[in-house]
Amino acid sequence: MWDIGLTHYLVVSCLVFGIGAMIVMMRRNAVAVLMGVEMILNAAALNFVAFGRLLDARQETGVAGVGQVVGLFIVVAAAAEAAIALAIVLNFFNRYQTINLDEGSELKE
Amino acid sequence: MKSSVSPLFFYAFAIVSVLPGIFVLATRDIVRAAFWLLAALSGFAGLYVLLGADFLAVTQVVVYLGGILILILFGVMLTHRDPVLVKRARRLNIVVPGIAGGVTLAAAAVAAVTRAHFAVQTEPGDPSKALALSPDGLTGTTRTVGTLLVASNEQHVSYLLAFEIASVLLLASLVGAAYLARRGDVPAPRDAQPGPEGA
Repeated sequence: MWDIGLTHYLVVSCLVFGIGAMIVMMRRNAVAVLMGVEMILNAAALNFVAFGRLLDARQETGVAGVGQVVGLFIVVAAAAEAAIALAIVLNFFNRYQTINLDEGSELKE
Repeated sequence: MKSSVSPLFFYAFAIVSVLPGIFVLATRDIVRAAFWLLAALSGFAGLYVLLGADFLAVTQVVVYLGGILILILFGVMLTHRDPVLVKRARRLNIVVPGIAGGVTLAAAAVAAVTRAHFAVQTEPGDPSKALALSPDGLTGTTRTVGTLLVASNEQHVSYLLAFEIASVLLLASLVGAAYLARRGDVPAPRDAQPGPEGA
């Protein structure tokens, strides 16, 4: 238990992924759903970084850096996604005066 | 051995990563959910530090805690007066399948990763790998990451094309967000008079 290995990080990642999926499924607030998506993306990034760091040292050099590079790209994708999603949420609120996702069941007025 | 830290740090950061997520799920107040999300993302930054990814940890703090969370708080404030969402109670036909599905998903994933044996995995008892603050002592991994991003040599190819595509993606998404969020052709509220100045 006191020897921290790859599995420990993967378990944390799985738990956060499950919580994020539950947030996406259960919350009806569009901004809260966006928070769940951010947690899912973070769990995926943690997987990449942990695998890159904790692969065997006999592998070629630079593997740890590759995991971090993929993590950086995930952060970039999350930033772009958050900006677009919040713009859509604002538009939705301006049209329907609510951000309850159950109310937005049509594509066109 | 001397560059490793106590496993208590891992467990502390793991708790800080997982537990606030449950509060994000459970709380009714969206502002409180935003601040619990801040705690969860801080825990992830700590885990990145333990994995030797110091540059990614700082990026996490700057982009997530400084950028995305402020953006989310702006979204909360701009859409806060929502009578439908405040009054509506949590319905049982959402809660039960949501919890069942999420717990099943997480349990299946945990069972998979704890049983799997990765062929290239390090030994779990190697403390200099799992909990070292940085692989190269105190030099950090910023140079490694920057070299991987823009410069290729005989050992590896660079990720320059992906880097450029990511920057173009950011530019396009920010332009698209500004286009989507403008108050141009949004239909006027019901009590507004259509004046000659238009919308």
